[in-house]
Amino acid sequence: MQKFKAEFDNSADLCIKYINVENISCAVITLAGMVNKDTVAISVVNPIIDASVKGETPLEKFNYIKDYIISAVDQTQVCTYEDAFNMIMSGFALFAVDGCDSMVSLGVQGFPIRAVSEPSSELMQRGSREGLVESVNINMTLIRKRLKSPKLKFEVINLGKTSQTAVCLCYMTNKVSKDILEKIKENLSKVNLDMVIEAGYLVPYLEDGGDFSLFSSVGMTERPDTICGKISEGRVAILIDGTPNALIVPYLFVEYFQHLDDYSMHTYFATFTRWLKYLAFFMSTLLPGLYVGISTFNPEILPGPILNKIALAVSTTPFSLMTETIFIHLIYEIMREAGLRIPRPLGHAVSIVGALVIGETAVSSGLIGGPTLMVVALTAISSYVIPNLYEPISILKFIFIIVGGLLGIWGIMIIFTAVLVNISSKKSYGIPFTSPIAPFKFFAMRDILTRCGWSFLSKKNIKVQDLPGSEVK
Amino acid sequence: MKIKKSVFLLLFAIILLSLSGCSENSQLHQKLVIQGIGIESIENEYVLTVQALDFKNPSKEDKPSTKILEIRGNSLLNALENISKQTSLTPVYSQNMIIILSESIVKNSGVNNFIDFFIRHFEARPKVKICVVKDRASEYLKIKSEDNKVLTAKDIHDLIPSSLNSDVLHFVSNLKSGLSNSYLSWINIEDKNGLKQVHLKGVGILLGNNLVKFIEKDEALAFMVLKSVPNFGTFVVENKNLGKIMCLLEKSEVKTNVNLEETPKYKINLNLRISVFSMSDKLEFDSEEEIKNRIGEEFSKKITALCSEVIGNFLEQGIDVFDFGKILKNSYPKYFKKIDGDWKSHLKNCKYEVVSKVNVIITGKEPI
Amino acid sequence: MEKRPCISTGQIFSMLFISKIVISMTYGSLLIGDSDIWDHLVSVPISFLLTFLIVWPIYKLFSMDKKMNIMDNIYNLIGKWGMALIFAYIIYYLVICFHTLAVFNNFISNAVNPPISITFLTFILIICSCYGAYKGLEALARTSSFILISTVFSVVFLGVSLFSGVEVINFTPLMYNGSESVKEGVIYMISQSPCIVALAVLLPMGKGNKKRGIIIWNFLVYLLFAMIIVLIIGSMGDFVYTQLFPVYTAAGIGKFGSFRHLDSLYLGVWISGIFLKLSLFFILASEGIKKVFGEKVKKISIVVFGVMMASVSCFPGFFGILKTSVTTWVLFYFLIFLSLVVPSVLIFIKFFKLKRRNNIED
Repeated sequence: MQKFKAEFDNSADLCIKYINVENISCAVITLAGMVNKDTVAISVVNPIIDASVKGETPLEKFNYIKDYIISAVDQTQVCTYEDAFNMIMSGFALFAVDGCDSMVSLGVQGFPIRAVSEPSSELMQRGSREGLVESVNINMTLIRKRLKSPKLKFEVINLGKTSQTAVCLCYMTNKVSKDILEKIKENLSKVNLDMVIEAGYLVPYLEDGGDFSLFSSVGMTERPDTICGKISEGRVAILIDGTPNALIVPYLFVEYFQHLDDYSMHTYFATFTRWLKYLAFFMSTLLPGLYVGISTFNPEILPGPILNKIALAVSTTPFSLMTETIFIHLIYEIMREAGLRIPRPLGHAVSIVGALVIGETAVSSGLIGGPTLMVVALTAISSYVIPNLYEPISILKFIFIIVGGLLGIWGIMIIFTAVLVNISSKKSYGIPFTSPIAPFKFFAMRDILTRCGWSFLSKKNIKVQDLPGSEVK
Repeated sequence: MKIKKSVFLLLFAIILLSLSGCSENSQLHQKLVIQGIGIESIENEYVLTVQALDFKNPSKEDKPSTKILEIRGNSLLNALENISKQTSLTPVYSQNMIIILSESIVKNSGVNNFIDFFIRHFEARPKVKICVVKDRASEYLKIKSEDNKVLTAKDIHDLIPSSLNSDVLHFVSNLKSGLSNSYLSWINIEDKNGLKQVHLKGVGILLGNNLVKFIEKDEALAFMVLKSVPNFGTFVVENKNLGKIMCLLEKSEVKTNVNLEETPKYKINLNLRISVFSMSDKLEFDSEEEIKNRIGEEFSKKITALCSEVIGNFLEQGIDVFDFGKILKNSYPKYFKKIDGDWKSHLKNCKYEVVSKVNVIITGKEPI
Repeated sequence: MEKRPCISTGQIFSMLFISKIVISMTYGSLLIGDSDIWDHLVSVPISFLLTFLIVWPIYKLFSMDKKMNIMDNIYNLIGKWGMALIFAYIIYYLVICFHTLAVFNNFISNAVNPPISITFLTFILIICSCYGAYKGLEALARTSSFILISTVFSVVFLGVSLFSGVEVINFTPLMYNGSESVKEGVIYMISQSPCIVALAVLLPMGKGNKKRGIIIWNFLVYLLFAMIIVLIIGSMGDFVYTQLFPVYTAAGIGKFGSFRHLDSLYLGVWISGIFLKLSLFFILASEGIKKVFGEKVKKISIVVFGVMMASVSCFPGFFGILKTSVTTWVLFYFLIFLSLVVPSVLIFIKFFKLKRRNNIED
């Protein structure tokens, strides 16, 4: 007990309940707020107080209490202080008997958790409204109840020297590639962080290859149903305690354009929306750059009336088209960031200021041209179509605006090809990031160029390791 | 690491140094977006009339606002250079739709003196329409329409049918071929009830580098038929039984074959469709079919005679605007090789026959 | 044996197809002089057949040992003295990079004439191409798939847009002025096929049926060439001979519904192709460096090649060399030497060595 008190430095939440049972001193150690007090009282403390304990030595008494008196189901014997600290900080109660060199941890967790609710960043028109929560145990339950197969396996490891965060690998033993699993474990073992507070902390460690890329080969989801779909294709989901997001590896470029809603819609409409997403990606990345590049260097491409309108707008503003576009994009990004961080009631104020400042005043005062504003609006809307790609898109569009303003469409094409090379060079756990488009697999196009009907999609389940160009088996 | 750093610094320095080249760039409103160009020669000087988009005085209506500039120079290139000197704007030729040449410049100094610019300039479009006028080219770009607005270059561009192939591409192609003669559409201003109107009047024909003649009225009608240009003008057919019939050529398909006898003999097959829009309603025929047949026959006679006359005149003058040389070269290359250098003098000896088939559509029967 | 990038045969030939297409798209009086473009239609089938003949020694050498590229063969069969030949290949690949840059420079300055520094644009192109080469052949092969898709779409789009403007009367009799232009056409087409020499290094890296790949690639390349000739002559007639880059001009006159000025589409595809070609030949040259100096120097050599090309770009006068007919002949003889003579000699030596070994074993 001295050791506990010393380690916790008499922390206010450390509770030690001493009980004297037949001349032997026992203790129940908990952390306030982490355990359910009623459960501790009903299934641990009361039975011990009321019981008559058999046995001569402290060890015999300890075993008797553990086996016959304590009614808590989840019991684990703990022999080291390190394990004991881990357990107690995970919401377990520890029961110790004076004279015994081991303790037993009792599953009486009772910390407050957020109820399962609809994921805010991955809304679906049709389908489940359940999203992941911060507790890894509940998340495991959410997955297990959707995938009732003994082949579904959860493997928990603790990461973070101080935080000791529970990280759970979730995969299907009959689908996952052993090479991929080994590689993931190897990558996770390299995590030398002190604290693992959020899923994003692990992303750099899970990225394969280590080359710089704007696009991530680690997916993120808030939906247990998405996780089920992904792990059934041989992928591994990583649940992190305290984060309502799961990481998915390997994650390929085409997956950014696939959404669970696609599979619950009519095939023709799902195909249409998928093409919309591709178009939105190109629009959000290239449109402002092309607008600046073409208007500045290649006006011949524009039809006369459009050229006239743009020129009229540019002639009334004090800045060059490139400066104007960068400026308004920056303002938009600032407002987006502000909208994300400020308290919700103030959100309306931001919207009003945004609409008035950018939309109305900037144009009417002649600071910003109308066509530029429209291009920015179109770009912003397009980027929301694929929210997972927002980060690379927002950086790329600035790059393309600058390149377009300095080098026209020639520069844009060169840099665009360089970005293509960057994407193509990436591998996610031995699988080319651009697979199955490059290297090409015609059969896989059923869910890339189109979204075929279930009768065709269910014909053969393509596992991620079977994709063309894969180095893993 | 040192190598990487030095390579990075080197690249950075190169890029920074090269960036100085980016200063040439000008914004869209600092450009002179040319819509139409008129070229003429006055007192041994080239006078360019340029219709360009006016960004300073925006129009509130559908049509873009335009401005007219008049620039002079010793040569066309000199005049073009003077555009940026006078206006401090960078000229953009890629949106140019029409080139209007005055008769004087095409007739006297020839097209070779200026056409090269429109062939080789990187912004020049080969499909820019090109036409000739008898008076000053500048007038056409300044003329005001009914609503007191300046007629835009696009309006003039739309007057010239694409099927006439009166564009830089075909003009130069014929000029360079050495076989076919080039031609230009001829536009004219007419005064109708005190209002000036521009219309396509006929065609200007070039012999080599210079304009030699204009054709109009019936000659121009026949030319358009032979060039498959529909809706050019109204055909009037008069006959005792049929009365006066007015019709419009809706479609013209021309197929020319050549047979080599002693001299080349061309057979020109015309497949035409006309729509009759005005005729007497008191015709005494059994059926409408019979009326159509009679009109077809009469029209066929007229058009065959007209076309034969036009072809005959051209051949007589050694002008090949109907690609007879190319057809002969493609059909009888060995024979043509013998006369290749002297093709124009052989034109006079060529025989020809025009055959026409007319399909008639009657759209109206108002009495005249 | 060191680990080699493994790509599919389809990817190899899509890279080579794009490399060939970018030069075909700049086909015009700058590269062929006063030669009659229409007569080059006869050169197309001749060059098609000749390409098979020229490729055969390279393919034969490869089929004798499918794991070795030409540089491995040179090293194994000739030893240290063969280094000179390896350097010949490196120089050839670098010459092709220079030639590609020269085409790029001439095209941009003559046909596009942008209001930006062309030297700066060339630097950016070189830097990005070096990045492409640095990322390796696999990355480039995958990128080529994307570029190929856009290229095929653009070419079909341009073809369809020009088709309606084709006038049969522009098709004059072939070889009207003799066969000189046909000969010039063949020399031009073969000299502009560095992909044949590239095959010497690339063949062992591919998975799949190479023989079929070569046939399809060669067929498509020359089919496209024939299409280009027919379309530009058919739609522009004698106007073609006034243009330095008639294919680009033709793209500008093509229209597809309300889509006009398709030259921008042409530019987009073309620049991506030039990027890919430069990167590919940087990689090929660096493969030679790897053979001579080892794996470590390989990646550095790409940077060195880039600096070399950038230095040359500082003197745009060098790019004027394209206008001389000597360039075509030099490229032609260089190509014949490296794709026909060297592999044939290697086959002979290999065959002789095998026979001697068999005799000793007997």
